[in-house]
Amino acid sequence: MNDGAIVMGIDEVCAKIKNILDMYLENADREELSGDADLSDWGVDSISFIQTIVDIEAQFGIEIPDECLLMEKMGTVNKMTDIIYRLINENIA
Amino acid sequence: MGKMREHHIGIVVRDMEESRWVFSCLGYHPCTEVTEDIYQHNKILFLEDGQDSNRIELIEPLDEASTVRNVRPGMHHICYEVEDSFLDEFKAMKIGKIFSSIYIAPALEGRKVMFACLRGGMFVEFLEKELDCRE
Repeated sequence: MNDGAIVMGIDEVCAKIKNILDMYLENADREELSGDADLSDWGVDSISFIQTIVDIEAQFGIEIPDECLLMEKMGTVNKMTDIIYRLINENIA
Repeated sequence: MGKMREHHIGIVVRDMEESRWVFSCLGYHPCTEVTEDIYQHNKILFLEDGQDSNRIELIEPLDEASTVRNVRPGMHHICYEVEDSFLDEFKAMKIGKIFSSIYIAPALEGRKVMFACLRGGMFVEFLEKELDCRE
């Protein structure tokens, strides 16, 4: 059931996630942030992590399960992208 | 009491005594003793301004397990005293996310609290109503 989730490709999902993270990265250039970079090394702490999650949920029209709200599971752009992309497609199905 | 009422503003500080002095210059005085919150690993002190009873909570990390150990000093959250039924309504609003488990707040007579992050990044704390105010 589509609960407001938006159809988009995985590259677009990744780009939007980087846009959101850009607000919370300290002294970082979004373009330099690689997909496998540890976000905590780029200034994302537990506070900005949850702020990012809330913004992501609003941006993509999804709800991220509590069990995914861990830096171990979503601590890189690639990990975030994979989970968000999966959730978007589950929402659309 | 309605469904929710502002209770206090939480402020993270690095030196509680200095901050106590700073806010005393602004007319605030302590309305509690300094309390060690063993659940969130913080030192807590509540101040009131003595006029409209605006209340602020000073929060100083106790150790590495502190829930605010890597939070920049400054405003942290607005706390609202809420009815139990409010939490379900909040979830239905989809304006933010509850991200913490329920904590016991020793500095608030052992009442339960939890934290949510609103869209836009603001943190709020939900505090259960005082026992004698509940229906």
